[in-house]
Amino acid sequence: MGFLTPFFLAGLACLALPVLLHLTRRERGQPVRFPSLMFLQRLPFQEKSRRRIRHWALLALRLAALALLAAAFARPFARSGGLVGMSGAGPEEVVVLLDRSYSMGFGDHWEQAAARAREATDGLGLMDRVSLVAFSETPHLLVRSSADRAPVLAALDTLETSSLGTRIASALKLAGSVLEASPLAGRRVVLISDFQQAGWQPDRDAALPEGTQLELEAVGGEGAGTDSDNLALTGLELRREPGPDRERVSVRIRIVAFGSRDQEAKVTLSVDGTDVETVAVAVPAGGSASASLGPFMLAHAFTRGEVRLANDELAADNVVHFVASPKSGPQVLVWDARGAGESNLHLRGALEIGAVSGFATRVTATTPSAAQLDEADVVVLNGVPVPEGPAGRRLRDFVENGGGLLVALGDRRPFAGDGDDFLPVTAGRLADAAGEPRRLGFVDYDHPIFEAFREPRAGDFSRTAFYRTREVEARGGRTLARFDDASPALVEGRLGRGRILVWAGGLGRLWSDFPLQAVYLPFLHRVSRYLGIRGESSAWRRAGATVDLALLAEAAGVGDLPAGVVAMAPGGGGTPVDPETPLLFLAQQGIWEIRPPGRRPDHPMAVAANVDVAESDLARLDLEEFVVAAGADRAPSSGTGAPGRFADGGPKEDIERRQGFWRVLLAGAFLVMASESILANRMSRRRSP
Amino acid sequence: MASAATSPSRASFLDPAVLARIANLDLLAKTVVDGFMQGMHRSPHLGLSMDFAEHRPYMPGDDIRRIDWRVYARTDRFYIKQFEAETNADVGFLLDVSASMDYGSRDVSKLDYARFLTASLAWFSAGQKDRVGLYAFDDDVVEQVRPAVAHLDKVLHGVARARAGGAGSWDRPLARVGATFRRRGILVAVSDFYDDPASLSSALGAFRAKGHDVVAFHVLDPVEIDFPFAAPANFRDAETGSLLPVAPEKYAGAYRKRVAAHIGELRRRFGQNGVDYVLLDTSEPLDGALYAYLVFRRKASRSRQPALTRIGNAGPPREGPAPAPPNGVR
Repeated sequence: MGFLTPFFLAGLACLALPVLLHLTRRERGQPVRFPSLMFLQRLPFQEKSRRRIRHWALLALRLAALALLAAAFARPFARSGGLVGMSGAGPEEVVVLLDRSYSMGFGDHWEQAAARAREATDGLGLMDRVSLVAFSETPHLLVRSSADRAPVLAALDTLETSSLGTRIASALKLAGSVLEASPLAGRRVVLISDFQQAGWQPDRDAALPEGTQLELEAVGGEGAGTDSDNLALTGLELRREPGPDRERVSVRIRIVAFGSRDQEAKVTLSVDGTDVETVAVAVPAGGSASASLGPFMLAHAFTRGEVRLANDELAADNVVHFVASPKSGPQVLVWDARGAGESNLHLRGALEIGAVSGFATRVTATTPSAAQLDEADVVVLNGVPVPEGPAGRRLRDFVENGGGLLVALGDRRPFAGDGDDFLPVTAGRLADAAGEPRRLGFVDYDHPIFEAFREPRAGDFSRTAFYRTREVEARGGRTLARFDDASPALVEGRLGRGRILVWAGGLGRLWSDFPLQAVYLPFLHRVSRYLGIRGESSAWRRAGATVDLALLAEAAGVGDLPAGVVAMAPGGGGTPVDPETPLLFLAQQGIWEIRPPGRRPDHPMAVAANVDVAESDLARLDLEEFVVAAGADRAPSSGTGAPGRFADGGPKEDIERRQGFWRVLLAGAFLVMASESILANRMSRRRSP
Repeated sequence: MASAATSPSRASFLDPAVLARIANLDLLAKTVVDGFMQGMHRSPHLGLSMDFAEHRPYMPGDDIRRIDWRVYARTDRFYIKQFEAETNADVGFLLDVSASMDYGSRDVSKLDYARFLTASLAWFSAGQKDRVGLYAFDDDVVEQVRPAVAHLDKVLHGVARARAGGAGSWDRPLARVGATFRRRGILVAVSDFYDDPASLSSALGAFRAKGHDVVAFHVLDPVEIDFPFAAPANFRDAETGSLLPVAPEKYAGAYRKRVAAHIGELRRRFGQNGVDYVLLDTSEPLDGALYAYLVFRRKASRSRQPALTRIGNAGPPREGPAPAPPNGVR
C-alpha cells in the first residue's frame, strides 16, 4: 500500500480541528437571544465542561469524514492485486541505479544525482539491504546487497561521470538479477537519471521481479532537458590534399544545437597542442551547421588534433579529438569485362583526374588476381558479376579483410551459382524509363559519402536523369540513396571489416547523365575514400568502442605490435596490453597512447576517442511513456510524488485498478458527512427549548 | 368567586394569545375591561362604582357645588354627596420599551403584554374620569402624553406605536417624568425591571414620597422565570448584544434562585417604599393584573380619601376582606 500524493496526508492534521472547535468555539454556535444576561454568568466549571467532549458519535463522524477525505486525496494504491501490507512492513532489498553517462555532467546534475543516491541510502531501514549500480552504456555493480551503508557511500564519493551514453534497459536488467537473488520480500529500485530519450529503448527483458517498487528520481527538476541549450561537435572529417612534400589536411566538423535557442558557436582547431584556426558559426535552434578549419600540414604519424567549442554546461561534447597519419591515396582497381573503354571512360576520368585526386587507378578486364587484390584498397565491379569459385572467395576475403567494394550492377544477368550472396541487395530486372527519366528522390546526407553535399549549393543530385536502372531489393543493408519511385539507388553493406556499396545501374553515360553532372566526380572520390578506409585507420573512435591494437599498428605501418605495450588513458593511468588479445576498451574520451615498454617515443601510437553525440540531446524521456513501456510486463509499483520524482505504474488498466481506492474513500466520506448532518440536526432539535 | 373570574368565556377575552389577534388597541382595551367587569359584577365583594356612595356633613372648605340640595331641602342641613369612583386622579403609565421587553417565548412578547395591560388600564382609568398620560421609555422617554381626561386616544395611540429598542435605564426617564408629573396622582410602571432593586425602589419611592401612588407591574416571560434550557449555548443580551457562554444544565438552578431572589428583593424594597408590586407572567390572562389594579385603586382611594371605604353603593362602607386573586397574580 502506498500513496501517489502523500502530501495530502498532511490533511490528517485537520483531524484536530473538530476537537479544537468543539472545545474552544462550541459555545459560539447559534446564540440564544435572551432579555438580559443579568442573572447569567460564567460558572467556574464551564471551562472544564467545555473541554469535555459530550457528543462522541458526532465527533467520531466528523473525524472519520476528514480522515477519509485526506486519504482519498492522497491517492492510495495497492502494490499488487489487492491491498497489501504497508510499505516498510519488512526489510527491503534496494537497488540504487545511478546514471553516470556523460550527459549527467550537465550543470549540477551529477551532484544532484549523487546527493539523491546518498539520500536513498541514508533513508534505508536497519534491516534493509542495498546494492549500488552505476550505469552508462553498461551497468557496473559496485556494491551488492550490503547491509552496510558505508561501502555505498564510499563508492558514491569516488564515482564520476563517464564518457559513455545511457542504456537504462541494461541497468534494469542487472537490478532485476540482483533482486531475483535476494531472499527479502520487499524489493525496490531507485533509478536516478536525467532520463534522456536516447537512453531508453524498450526491452522486454528489462523486467523487474513481481512486486518490485520502482522509484524514479529525475535530476534537474521537471523542466530539465526540454529547454536545455547545448552545443555538440560531431561528424569530424579530415580532407587530405597531397602537397609538395607533405599532405595538407582540412578539418570539417558539424556543430549541432540542441534546445530552443539559436546559438553562436566559436570553433577552434588545435593540432599537437597549437591552435590553428578559430571560426564563428551560427547554429539554428534544433539544427546543425558545418565548419571547415585548416588546412594544416601533416608532419608525422599519429599527429594529434582536436576541435573544440567554448564551454557550455555540458563540456564533454564540446571537444572532438582525432589522430592523423600521413598516407597515400587508395589504390582503386576497376574490373570491367570490356577493359578500359567507353563503358568506364567517365569512371576512369574521374578517378585519374590528376595527382590532386590521390587515387591510383587501374583497370582490368579479367578476374583480379590475388596480387592485384593485395595492392588494391578499393575494387570496382563495373557491370561485372561477382565471380564464384576461388576468384569469388578471394574477393570475399578481400572485403572481409577491410577492402572496399563498389558494385555497379550494370546490365549483367544473374546466373545460377552467382557468388554475390554477400552483397546487400538482390538484383532484379532492368528498368528503362518510359517517359520522364528517373531521378534521385532521397539522399542520406548523414552518411559520410553525402555529408559534404548537405549544404546549399554543395551539389545537387536531383538534377541527374537516369534513363535505365536495375531494380534491386535491399536485404539488410543501409540504403543511402533512392530513386524518385522509392526504389534503392545506392545500398551499403558490411562484410567483415570491409564495406560494400551497390549502385543500381551503371556508372557510364549510357545509363544516365550522371557523368556529366558536377557531383559525379566528388561523389566517386568520396565513395573511393570511404571504401578505401582500411582497418582501424579512422581518425577517431567512439568512446566505449574496443580497438584492435594489432590492426591499428598494421594500418599505421608499425608492423607487429611489440610485446608489453601499455595503453595510457587520457586522464592518466596505464593498462598493460595483452599481446594475445591486444584489445583496448576506450572507456574515456580523449587521446589514448600506446607506448612500447620502457620507452616514451616522440610520437607514440595513439587512438582518439570521442563521445557519442546522441547522448548530447538532453530532451527528456516522457516518464509516463517510460513507465508504461518499462512496466508493460512487470508488476506495478510506485514511487513518491516528490518534485523530480515520478511514480511508476504499469499498464493503464492495472494502474487504474490499483489506484482507484480514492473513489471508494470519497464516497465513504460523503456518506459519513451525510450521517453527521442528520445526527447533528437531530441533536440540535433536541437541545432547543 | 375566583372561579368565576377564570371562566372560559371571560378568560378567552383576557387571554394574551387571543388579544394578540386584535389589532385595534382601543377595541382590545374595551374588550378586556368589559369582559373583566362582567366577571367582577358577579362577585358580591368586588366592584368599583362611579355612582353615589354616601353623604357626609359639609365641612368648611368643601366645594359647595357638591352640596346635595335635595337633602338640604328635606333636612335643612348641608350634606356633601360623594361618589366612590370619581377620583379624577392623574394616572401616568410608565411603559418600558427597552429591548429586553421584546422577548417572548410564545405568541406574546413582554412588550405586547405590557401594551395590552397599559391600554386596558388606561381605558379603565379613563372610565373613571381619570386623567391618563403615557411615558414610554427605554433609557429616555421616547413617547410622552401629558395626563388629561381627553387623552385616552393619544395614550392608546402612543401605546400602539411603542416599539422595543435600546438599552433600558430608569434614571433619566424618571427624572423627566418627575419634571412633568407634578400633580398628585397615580404612576403605573410596567416593566421587566432588569435593574438594581435598590435603585429602582428608591427612584420609584421618590414619587411615592411626593404623594403619588405607585404600582409596579413586573412583566416576565415564563422562560425568564423557569429557564428551561438544557444545551450549552451562547446567550445574547437583547439590550447590549453581548454574548455569554452558558451551560444551563449546570446553571439553571442557580439562575432560578437568582431570579427568585431578585423578585423577592423588588417586592421587599418596593414594599418598604410604599410601591405596590405585582408580578405578571405573560402566559397568564390579564384579569390578574386588572384585579390587582382594582385592589390597588381601592387602597389608593382610601389613602387619599379615607372616608370612602365602602365598596358599592348599597349598605355602609366597610373594609372588605381581600379577595382571592385570580390566576396570574403572584
